[in-house]
Amino acid sequence: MWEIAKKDLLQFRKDKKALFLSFILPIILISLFAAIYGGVDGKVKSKPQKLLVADLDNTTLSAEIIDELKKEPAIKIKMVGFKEGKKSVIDGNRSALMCFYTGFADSINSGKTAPMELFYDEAKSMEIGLMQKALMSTIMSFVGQKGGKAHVKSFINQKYGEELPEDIIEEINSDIDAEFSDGGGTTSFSSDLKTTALSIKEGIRWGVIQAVAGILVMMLLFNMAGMGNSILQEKEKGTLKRLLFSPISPSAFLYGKMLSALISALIQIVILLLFSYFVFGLDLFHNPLGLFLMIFGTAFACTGFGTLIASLGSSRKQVESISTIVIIIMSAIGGSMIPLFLMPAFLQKLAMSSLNYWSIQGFYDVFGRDPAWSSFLIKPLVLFGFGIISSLLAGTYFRKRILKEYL
Amino acid sequence: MIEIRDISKSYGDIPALKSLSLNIKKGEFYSLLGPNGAGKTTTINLLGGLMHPDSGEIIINGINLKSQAKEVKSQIGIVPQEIALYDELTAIENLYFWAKVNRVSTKGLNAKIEEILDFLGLANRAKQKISQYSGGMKRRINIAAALLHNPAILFFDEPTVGIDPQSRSFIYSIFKQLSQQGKTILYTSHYLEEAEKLSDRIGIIDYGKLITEGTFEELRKQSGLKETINISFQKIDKDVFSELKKSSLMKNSLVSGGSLDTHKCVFIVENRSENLHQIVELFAKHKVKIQQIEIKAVDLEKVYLSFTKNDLRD
Repeated sequence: MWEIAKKDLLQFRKDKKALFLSFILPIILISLFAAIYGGVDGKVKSKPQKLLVADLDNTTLSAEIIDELKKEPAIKIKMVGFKEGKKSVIDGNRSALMCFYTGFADSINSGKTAPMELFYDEAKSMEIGLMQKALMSTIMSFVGQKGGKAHVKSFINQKYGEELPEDIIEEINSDIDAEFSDGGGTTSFSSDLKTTALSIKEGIRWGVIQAVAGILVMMLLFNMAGMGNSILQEKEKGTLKRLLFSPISPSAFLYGKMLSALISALIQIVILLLFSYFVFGLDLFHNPLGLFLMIFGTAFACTGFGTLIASLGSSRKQVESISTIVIIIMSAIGGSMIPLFLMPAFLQKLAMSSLNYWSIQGFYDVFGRDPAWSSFLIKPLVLFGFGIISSLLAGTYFRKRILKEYL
Repeated sequence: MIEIRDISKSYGDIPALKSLSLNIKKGEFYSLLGPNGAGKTTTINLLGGLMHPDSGEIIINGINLKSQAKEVKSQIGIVPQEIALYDELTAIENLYFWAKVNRVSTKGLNAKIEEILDFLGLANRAKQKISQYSGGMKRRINIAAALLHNPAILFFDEPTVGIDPQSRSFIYSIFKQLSQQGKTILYTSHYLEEAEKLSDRIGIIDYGKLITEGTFEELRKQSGLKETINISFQKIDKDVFSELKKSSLMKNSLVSGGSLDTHKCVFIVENRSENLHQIVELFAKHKVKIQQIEIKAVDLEKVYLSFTKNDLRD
């Protein structure tokens, strides 16, 4: 019994792949997910939410509230024009726009409801929910203080202005100022913050879009890696050698493989989207051209990726290990597994290096947002670029590694 | 038909072929034999255009392989060592694919596939998946895939590895038929008995060099190996013994290491078929009753080992 155990342990020690999968991969994944949840020794700082601010009132008071917002560590302010800011939110480039309308200061000074509005990307409503907490706290405190003071003064003036001497009124006003200046003036006065979701229509199921886009890309990557693996299967079986003896060129073989993978990927995407249409009511027809570009771009990028991964490995088992690791990591940082806003700042930036990110964002655009074409096209273009580069690299590695023993 | 002119090929620092030259005539069955790593598969890979030689050139049917590879490839059919087929596809699907890869027109292709399956005795299993085939059947489909485009030249790289003697015998009969059809065949194998029977000429390659080539008889003579004929007979008296010893046949044999006793003798001869009749006549002349004749022939395996030696090639 001990001899068998000893032999197995020896085999395990000699199997570098098994060692890697058993020890190194879990370490990588634990580190990655710890970083995602912001738990690496408290060193990962949470990223401040970016908030666009349009100041249409342009008064001292509106400047004061903006200064207060700038002090809030959870929010990072960027001043914009109203139209520009709204477009950025609609295009999905920014999450929210806080607008202080004309009359903001006058309303506060006269103790009326202040005209202000928060526009946000409905696709990021969870993210906005977190931002709103910090935003409301600052705004309500400011409005409560300024508006409450004005409201009390206005009341005193109206009720006792004619009865009491002017010096008494002034004394009362200075007492009110003192009361509100030491932070104790948080009265029951408050002003409503109007919030408006910017989306193409009512009732969009963002959760469904996130699930469909995220899982679709991740599963497609796994399938394409499997398809790419068939190149190595052909090599191991000897059919590749036989094909190379025929009048077919190595490039024709490789691109033939990629074509079959692309067709398979397109069919897979269409079936998954049709399922989502019939079962979850996903609107496939809002932007047909955009959807076509996204389907084709995603399929092409995933196919290129699968072929590239296959060209890098020297055996099928090796490719299976590499592709599993790369896909899990790419899906984790690209937003397939966890919404991006939950991740720390550096991972959100890193997400842009994964094709999951561009695909998910593109599907958000065609299903839920209504961005300008210039803003949308970057997503399928990046995917096509990813596909072209990985296909070219796959071609190079295919010759260098897979055909090495023949050429 | 196939001319290999002074080709060399190395894998990094390891030379696989060193100035190899071969000339295989049209319609010839040529066996290229050699130990593992001798350069047989490299030669076939080079002839199939799978790789290019470092130096030298290959002319097939008058066409330079390097400059017109596609044209040459369409005239060649290759049966690799591996069962290079798709297990999930049926025999017909596999053959259809390999035919299209070799640019066979769709017109009449189904009939051609049926004809080949019939030729190989697999017509009744045509619609079965390859995964359901026995080893011998797979080997036959492996051969069929190389025949669909009717190539004038066939390369068989150890095409009968791992199958039972019945299947092997059937496949050799197919090779014979193909040879009779006028196909030029280059064959590599470790089954030397079949190579001896099938080949018009045999080449022996070792360490990337052609050691020798010729018909089996030519190789046997070159090897210098002699055949042994052991004869047991009824005990003879001294006179008969002396008469036998004086005969030129026995004298030559004794010089070559043969022996003579009162009830048995050993003849060492060049060629048993040329000498056996004379030996029997000699014994009949002296009225000696032969009880048993045992012939130890020189076969291709012995000739091959005499050229390549017995040491292991790892």
